[in-house]
Amino acid sequence: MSLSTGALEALNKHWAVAAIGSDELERAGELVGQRLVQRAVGRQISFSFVKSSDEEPFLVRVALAFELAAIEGLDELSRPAGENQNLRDQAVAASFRAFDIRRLLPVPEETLDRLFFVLQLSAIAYCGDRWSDLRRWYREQGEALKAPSVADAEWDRRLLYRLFDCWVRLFRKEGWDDLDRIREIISGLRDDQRIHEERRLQNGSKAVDRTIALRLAALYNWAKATETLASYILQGQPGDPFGTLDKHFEAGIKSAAASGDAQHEVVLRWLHATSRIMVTNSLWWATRTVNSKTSDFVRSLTKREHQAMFELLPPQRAALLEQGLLDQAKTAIVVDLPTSGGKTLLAQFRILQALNQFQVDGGWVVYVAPTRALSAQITRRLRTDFEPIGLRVEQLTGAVEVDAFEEELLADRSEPFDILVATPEKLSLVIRNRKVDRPLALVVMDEAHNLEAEGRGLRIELLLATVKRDCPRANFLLLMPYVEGAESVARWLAQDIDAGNAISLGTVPWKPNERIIGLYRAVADDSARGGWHLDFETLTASEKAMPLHGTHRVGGVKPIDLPKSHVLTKGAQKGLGLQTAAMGAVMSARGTSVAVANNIRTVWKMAGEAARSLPEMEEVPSDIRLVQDFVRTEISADFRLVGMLEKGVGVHHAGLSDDVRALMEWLAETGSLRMLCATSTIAQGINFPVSSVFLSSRYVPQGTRSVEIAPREFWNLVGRAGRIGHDSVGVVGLSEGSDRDALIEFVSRNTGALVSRLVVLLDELAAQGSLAKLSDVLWKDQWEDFRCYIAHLWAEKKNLDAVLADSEQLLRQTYGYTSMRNDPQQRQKADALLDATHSYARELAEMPQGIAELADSTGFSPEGVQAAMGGIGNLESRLTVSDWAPESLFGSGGRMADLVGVMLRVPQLKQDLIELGGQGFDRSRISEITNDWVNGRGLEAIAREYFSRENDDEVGTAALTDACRAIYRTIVNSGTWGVSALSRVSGIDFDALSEVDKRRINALPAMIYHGVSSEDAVLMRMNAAPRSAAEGLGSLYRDVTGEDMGRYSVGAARRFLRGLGADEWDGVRPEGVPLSGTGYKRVWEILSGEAS
Amino acid sequence: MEDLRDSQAVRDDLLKYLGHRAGLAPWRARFERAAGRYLQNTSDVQLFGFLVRDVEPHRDDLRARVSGLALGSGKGTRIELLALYLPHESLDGIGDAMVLRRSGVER
Repeated sequence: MSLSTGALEALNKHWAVAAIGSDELERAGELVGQRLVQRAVGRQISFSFVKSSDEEPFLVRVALAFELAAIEGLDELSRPAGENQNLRDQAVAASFRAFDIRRLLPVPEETLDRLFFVLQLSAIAYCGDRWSDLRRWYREQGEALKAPSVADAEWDRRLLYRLFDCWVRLFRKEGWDDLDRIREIISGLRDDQRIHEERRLQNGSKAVDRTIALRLAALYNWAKATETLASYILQGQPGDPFGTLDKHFEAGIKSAAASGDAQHEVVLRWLHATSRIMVTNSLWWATRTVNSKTSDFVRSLTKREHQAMFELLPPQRAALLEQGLLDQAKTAIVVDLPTSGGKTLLAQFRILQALNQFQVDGGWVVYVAPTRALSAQITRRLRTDFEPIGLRVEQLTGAVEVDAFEEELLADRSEPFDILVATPEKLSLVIRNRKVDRPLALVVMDEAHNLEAEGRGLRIELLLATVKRDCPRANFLLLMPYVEGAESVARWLAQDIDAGNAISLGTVPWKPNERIIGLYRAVADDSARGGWHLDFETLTASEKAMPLHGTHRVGGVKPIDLPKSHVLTKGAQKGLGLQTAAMGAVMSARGTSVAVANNIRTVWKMAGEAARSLPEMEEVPSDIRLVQDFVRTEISADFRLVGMLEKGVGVHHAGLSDDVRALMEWLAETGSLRMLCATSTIAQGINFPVSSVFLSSRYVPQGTRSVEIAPREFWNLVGRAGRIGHDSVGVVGLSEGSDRDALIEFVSRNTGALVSRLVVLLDELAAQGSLAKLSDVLWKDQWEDFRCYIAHLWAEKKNLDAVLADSEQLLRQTYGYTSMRNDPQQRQKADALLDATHSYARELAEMPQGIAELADSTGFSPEGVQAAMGGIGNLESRLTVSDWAPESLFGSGGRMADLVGVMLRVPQLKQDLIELGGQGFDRSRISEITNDWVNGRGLEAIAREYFSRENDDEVGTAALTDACRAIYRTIVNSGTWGVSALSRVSGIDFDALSEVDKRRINALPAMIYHGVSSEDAVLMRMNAAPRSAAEGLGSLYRDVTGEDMGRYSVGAARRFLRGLGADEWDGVRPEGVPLSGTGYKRVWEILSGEAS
Repeated sequence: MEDLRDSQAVRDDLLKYLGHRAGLAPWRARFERAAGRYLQNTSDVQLFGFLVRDVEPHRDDLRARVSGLALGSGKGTRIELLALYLPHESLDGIGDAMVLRRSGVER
């Protein structure tokens, strides 16, 4: 059983712990916190803690109390669980606490003391469920972990030193080879035994000889147990290692005791318990009863070159072994896991199980990620992990529509995909239009707390409802952080009332790492002219961070090179973005820091100032060099980001391409970046750990408004601060500005239970007293997804009576309606929703035929479809099939401008387009940019032509940023979706078209999305080839494959790219660009997930 | 004796060692009471020193140790020294004699 908060509380009543006294325990807790942060960030933050000389002996005394409590239950940990659960819990809780203190104490210098200290600390860590913290401690140690030289050492010492070496390997688990060496070491000891043993037993005294013989017997048994354990961790063999481990440890302990060697006996007792825990933590043990695919997967994880995995984090183990993650009877599982708790691995196990369960029927799994960047990231991860075991992972790229190649991919039965990665919008179209004719086995929804998000929460809820209705056999796995009461969500999704399971691990004592949170502010500093520095006030307002008191100084005077007037005016705080940049720059000395602002302009400014103030890097990492060349090639040699990267500063916001953003994330992941400046969109894109996170504001833009970040979202973002296996303390800061009290209140807010957007919308109406008028407001934007949901039913039934009869059932599929229906206080709202559904169904009945079907196939609302049809009908000349050819649509005099004009009438598209139009653009300019983009024009040229402005800097950063935003935010999304949808509603009779024409029209949106003008180039881009080489690659692909129609396949294109050598990449790159053939290949490997 | 008196680490290790053995021991309750006191004051210990000799008893055997050990004792520490004098030259071979005796052979 995993450690519970209750067990930690019960521990305080233990006689040894109680002997310390509660005040003293509290003091110890504070000291531990202080020492931890001092050690972790003491170089960057001058903490204002008061020190006293008796601290160390005091902490040792408290640690002893915990150890005595742990020792009492140690025997319990050395046998199968279940005999005395309380004692077991006590041992785990006490070890957990003892480790907190022991890890902060100095390692003894004397050799034997050092070895036993390291072994015992490691054992305490395992017994206290702290192996991830132990590995961090191991990384911080240097000499302490080194095994002493065995030259000239007596045989028993030689054994001890070698065994120490083996156990250091077992604890640090640095990879297959590191662990596999244990086998060789033990086998070497067997050889040595023949040479050294006899001599060691000739001491001239029988008593001494007998003592040594017993000591050797203890060591031999220890060695045998070590060998067994290593074999199990590596290969899962022998299947049940406990018998062997128990036998050798028990014999070893007996011999050590008889030899009178207390230290040896004690350490063996600890290691016995540790070995059992190590086995139950291991991937092999957790998956021993699962199918062979899972075993293959575990094998590949243990053999991975980078970050090989052997054991489960405590919450992962709890989910798998204790809370039924793989229980097939549970069709809906909701996992509430702290950020960085390792949820992807849990999803992977469940995915393998679902695929196995649906193997006969060819079932598929979808992994829903909130953003395209995260989709790409998860695709890379799943592909890296699953392709070696023969599973096909595909990602739906594009904006919202499903294009020609995706159609092919979804329908492919010869090499069917196993796992699809998609955004909710894409999946919605796939499900509604039944694009895959195989059963959906499992929906994994990442960041599922988006269910309550104002922007798209309703869409996600209704997507899940649609899956429930249209794919009755589908299972659900929802992953979310910090959600209380997840049971109700699980119950909603489960088809059967008992089939829901909420795995709640959000409140377990285990943490990915410790964290401090505080407010920072600029303070005048007279030690320099125009001087200022930063103060950091640590807050105690939240349980999610360490309670540390005090205000501490951060960095030196002028942490970024700007005069005081930029950050302070007459004592008032200003330049919060700059202060944030300064915090990020100072803290970047200990690992990547993320500085967040709520608009792109501030992000550039922060990055610019931070880069200006940071010293040169000793050596710019080759990864950064690669990305610099990529940016020079794909955007512009003068793009500011290139210079910022030179100082290790990256940028991440919506004004950059998905590729650049993915590469920024990759640089952060590989630890090459000192600092990443980003907009709050990174909250959902950041699936990589960083050392610190700083926010210049707690507000984020929501449409045209600015809203506070929801508490759950905030903790999800700041939860990334601190890296498993690296930093022991993550640092989180908020810019104080003039809002101190409000910020403290903000940090202290509870995350609470998940609330359906439907409920929120109805609550708002009820508060206004307008519940009865729901039908009158249903046309508003916030109800759009709801209207689409009803239209989907209409598209299926095509009959008013049938729709009216099924409406209640339809609503019952939603979380919001179910929860309101089940709550007597809320029934009135449920009734209002049902009434509004009926009246909207009647409206649909009045609409021209086929509108609901078009809504389903385009993703527009029925009203959007009507607006689009109206717009197309009003065009001066009718659109014909020939207008939909790439050369005529995107060529000069093509119809793109007309289409943009229509798009500006569609509610779902117009917002972004108007925003772009607000910069003085009319539809023809938007279409010109689109055409230039598709025809391969570079971003720099587009920026110069359309976005030049007088007050820009010399390299035209603002123009480039605007160009990137126009393309990556507006054209790539609304333009792509718009062209796709308009082709559907334009009246073309698709059934009458040839396959070639059909595919060509269906490929148009993808051309806009990817910025290329041929189908072959689209295929290259879909497989993550950089845009600048896509056309060249496309024509090479055409040459290689000839006229074989089978080439129009995402999988075939990927195989082609995989087979290309650096020379071939070199051959297709545009002349004179900075990125070499090797560079192109490498970037492709990174973006496509082919990189190992 | 000096190690036990001066080194908290040595005393702590001893306590932990006893902790491992206290499980079902009849002295467990006493151990807990004593350890509880020790946890409040790690100098609150009583040390016993045994001197075993096979010569004529003499006060000086302990006198030097007493004055040495008394200096620098922690607050609360008590030390008791006991001397056991065996018949002349009987110590040599006492170990072997014990082993034989345990195996039933009297000499």
